Amino acid sequence: MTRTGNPHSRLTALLDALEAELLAAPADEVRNALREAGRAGNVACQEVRALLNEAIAASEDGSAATAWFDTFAGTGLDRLFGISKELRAGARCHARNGAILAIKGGPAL
Amino acid sequence: MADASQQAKEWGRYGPGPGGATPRLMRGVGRFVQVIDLKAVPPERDVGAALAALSEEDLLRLRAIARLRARSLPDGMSWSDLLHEAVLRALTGARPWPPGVSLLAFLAGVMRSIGDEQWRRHRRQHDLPAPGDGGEAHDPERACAAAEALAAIQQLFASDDAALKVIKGLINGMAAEEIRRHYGLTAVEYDTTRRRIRRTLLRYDLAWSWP
Repeated sequence: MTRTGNPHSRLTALLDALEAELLAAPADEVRNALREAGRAGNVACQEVRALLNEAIAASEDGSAATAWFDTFAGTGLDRLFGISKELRAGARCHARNGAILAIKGGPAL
Repeated sequence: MADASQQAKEWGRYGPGPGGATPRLMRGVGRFVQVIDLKAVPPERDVGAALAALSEEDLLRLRAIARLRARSLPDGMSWSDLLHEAVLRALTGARPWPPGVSLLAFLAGVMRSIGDEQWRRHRRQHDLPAPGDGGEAHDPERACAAAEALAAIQQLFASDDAALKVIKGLINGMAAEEIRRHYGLTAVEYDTTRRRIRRTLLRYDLAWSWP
């Protein structure tokens, strides 16, 4: 089937196909790519590992705080309360440090 | 009503029973204890443990997928924001990990839906009208971002004619056989081209900085 749709559906088709390729790539092929990339490959893996660890820590220490933000993000109330993306991102960090969150322009929680 | 796996999470799991019998779930205190046979309960999947066990190869795949998916997102959402959010949703159970699906495929799906959600949020925050009958596809801003992403991805393969043909075929939703027939590629040429595409996606983004 040939898709003649707009860029969005064409991009969706491409991304889905490339994603499937990456998921199905044989392990030795990925290992070779990693080896060929040398130090940059190691750094990339460390970067992703650190990101995963941060998410694990955030989910353990601050799941309640982030869940609160996520709940309101889907309802439009985040906009009403002026919860910015930066604040949400900050919430992730603060939650990990056990800090108490405050809503911009509203009472401290 | 919560399903069995949710109940297992809330109440805690005790098992196996005496003598290695069937695992059981116990709820309540003292004599008001309810015991549920866990035979019918699908085993809970520990996302944290599975994440910790990911190999370096899987981390590289995950990074490449996140970079692809983040390429056309609004409001400067980066690949690391996208991946972090997906992992967090998986860890908190906001997005349950279905049985029979690999962790990477599951996270890729979560990133895909976060992308759609991000566009909806973007429209709400900027008071933009919801797309009409054509749905998301008819959002002009999203279409523009998609066109830019398509151009950037094709640019990645600008020096590889065969790869460009395969990419164009994929963009047009063609199946493998159709691509081969349409562009006159042999089975071997098609397979080696796909391998080069994968290698480029896995490796090239380590040197090439996506905005």
